[in-house]
Amino acid sequence: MKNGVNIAGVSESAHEIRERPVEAHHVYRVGATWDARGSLQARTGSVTLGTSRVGRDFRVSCTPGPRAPGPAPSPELLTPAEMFLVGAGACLLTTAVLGASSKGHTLLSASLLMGRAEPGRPWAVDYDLFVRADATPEELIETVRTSCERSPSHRSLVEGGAVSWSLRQPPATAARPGDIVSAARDVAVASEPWPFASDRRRSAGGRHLGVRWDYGVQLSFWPDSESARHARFPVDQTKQFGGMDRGPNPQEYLLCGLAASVAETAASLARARDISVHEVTCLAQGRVDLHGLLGLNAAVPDKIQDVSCALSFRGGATPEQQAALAREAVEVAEVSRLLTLPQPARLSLARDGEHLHELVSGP
Amino acid sequence: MSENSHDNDEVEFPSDGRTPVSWMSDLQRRRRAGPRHRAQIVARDTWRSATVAVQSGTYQDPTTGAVGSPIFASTTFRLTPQSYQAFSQGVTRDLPIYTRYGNPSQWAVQEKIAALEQAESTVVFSSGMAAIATTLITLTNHGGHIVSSFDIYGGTYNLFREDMYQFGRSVSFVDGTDVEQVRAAIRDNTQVIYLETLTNPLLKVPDLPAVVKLAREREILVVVDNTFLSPALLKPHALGVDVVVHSCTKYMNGHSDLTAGSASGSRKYVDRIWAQLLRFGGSLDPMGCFLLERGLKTLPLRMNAHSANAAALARYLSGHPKVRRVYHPTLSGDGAGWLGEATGGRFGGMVSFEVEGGDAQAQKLLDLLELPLVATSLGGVESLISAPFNTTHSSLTEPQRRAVGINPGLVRLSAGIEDIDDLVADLESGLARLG
Repeated sequence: MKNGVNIAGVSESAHEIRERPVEAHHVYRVGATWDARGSLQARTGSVTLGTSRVGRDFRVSCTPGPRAPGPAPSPELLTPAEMFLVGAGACLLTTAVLGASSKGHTLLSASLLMGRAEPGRPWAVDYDLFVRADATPEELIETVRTSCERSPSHRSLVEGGAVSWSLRQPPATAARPGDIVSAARDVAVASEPWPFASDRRRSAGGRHLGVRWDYGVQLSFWPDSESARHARFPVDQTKQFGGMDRGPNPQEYLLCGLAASVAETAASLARARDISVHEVTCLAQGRVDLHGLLGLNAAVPDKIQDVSCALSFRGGATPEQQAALAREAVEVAEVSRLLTLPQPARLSLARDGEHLHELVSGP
Repeated sequence: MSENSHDNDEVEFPSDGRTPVSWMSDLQRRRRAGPRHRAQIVARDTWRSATVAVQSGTYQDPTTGAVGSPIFASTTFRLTPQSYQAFSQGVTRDLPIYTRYGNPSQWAVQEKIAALEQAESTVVFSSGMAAIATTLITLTNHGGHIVSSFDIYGGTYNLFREDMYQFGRSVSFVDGTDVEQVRAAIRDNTQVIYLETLTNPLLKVPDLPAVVKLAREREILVVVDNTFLSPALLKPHALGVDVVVHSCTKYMNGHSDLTAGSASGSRKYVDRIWAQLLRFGGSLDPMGCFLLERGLKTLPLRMNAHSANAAALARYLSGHPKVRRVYHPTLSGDGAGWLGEATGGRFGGMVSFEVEGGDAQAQKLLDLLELPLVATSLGGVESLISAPFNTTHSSLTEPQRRAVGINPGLVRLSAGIEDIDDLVADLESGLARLG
């Protein structure tokens, strides 16, 4: 184990994918539901890792945006856009940890502060990456540069891409009589103060977010606001991918942000048009091809691919109204626009508190 | 070649520490069968089961020339630079470091089982239930779902019913012989279909090829308990099953003097199961490994004898007026379908039958018999007999027993390898005195 990363497992997975390319395809599925009480909850669904399926049962409460029907935004909860940004930044940090560990570098600490850039900047997202490691500056810069090129969620942010939509029937309960059923679990939010030295508030659209590497592919993140700076959220991978199943992974956070944003936007549009809607659910799905992350095939897109949203409505909307709401929500939802339109991002790298390099990704 | 004499030259590391690694794609280690030590015999592809059973896995001691594997009664092994490299790069399963992690005695028997199963890798456990519990926790996640059969072994059923939901897994029970029921129970989060290749005690046959096909379509792993048949009769990996578990206490060891279990499959899945074993415990000690390795050498011979005796007893019992019904695959009318074809018509040593007069008469018969010893368990060279209602299935309510087909008077007989004429004569005598 290097930095808690199972290097042998990474190596074996890379060779397995060379021999069986189908194992490279990881498909993530999440859902988010807005209801008439103003509740907005996202939940992870199953993941397909190559040829096998993995159960995921995390539930994350979100705060609806200011235009969404329902109560005022809660500072204790994440907005859909924050979940999306966490997904992008946490993926970038995870990729850097995997890359550094594969190269044999010992990490002492790694953290990322991120937020939407101030108006007037030529980029949309700011990252500040702080690393303490036994690598040389050149080695660190190279690792971070490669991470920016290979991190799937970060590439989705800076490259943009299509999001398709469809309608589906509201789901029925799946349990059968006699089944022994386990319940979903809320993402375990721990009480731990904001651990970062920096508290610059330069995030224009929402709060500053801090992501910290903990162990292996496990991270924690904090929203930076007075009332929520004690809330530490987990980011983790499936145990099949070297994690411990402590929380959603970066792709799941990103897709949860998308699903929640689309669901609340559809509800807002319905209210604006006086269409009766009690509940909107958006199932979002996306596929990562590990050929990109692992550096096995430069021709394979690194970003999340085949992103789709399937919406269902409860209430009085006609099928035609539902289709119009779904199509428009996917077009105009804040996170959907973040995902479809390329967002230039600036990354500032510091080692032991000393600025080393600046990278700009995207258009 | 390593500098230390007890280093394992079979080990491949992700990085040699000298060649620069620019990204993850430069890492070198790939999964290989094993773990293996260079002193072990590795089965040739052309060897048949009887040869594999005798030869495969044996640790050929280079110092003494002993023809059998030594018992490595050591809990720990001297560390070398290779050991430290193994720690830092995550390949500790491939080196002798600490016996819970791996011991040459374990590797010897694991290699033999893997070769018999035609699997890349095997890990042995201190019991069958340790193998089953560790395997299923490994292959599922919190929020995952398992589809199984309602008439599986009671210990497994209790694991599903009493423990799995506490680990965040949900379980659905269906008639495992009905693939449409299996299909209907599958959910978005289903990760594993778990079945027995021949059920206990009614010897029902699941449509394993159809279940495997279904599972592939739905990205689900198939895990089977092959205890009743053993790899001498059925190799489930050849059908596409992902992981095969055994209570090695039964046929695999075959002498009723060892409690052990095993899980076999691809190196990918068995490495994960091994990692879970490290945390749960349940590793098999070197003496147990020796006993199991020795027992396995005669597995094909024993399974032939068990199968012949059970089939003969089934034939005898099915014609007896004091026996209401006999359960054995040879009596199914279709030769047990795909299973009969796969096993050449051999189904191991189990035969179950219902005695006229109910449980009291069944218990009386048990008391009248001399050769089959009245005991639970199965798969030993000696015949054993018991009644499910007061042993394996005593935790079920009467309606539950009826639901799975365990009717009053049911007796489960594990045919040993004694002379069939003696076994028939003993049953003849007992049934005659039932009154």
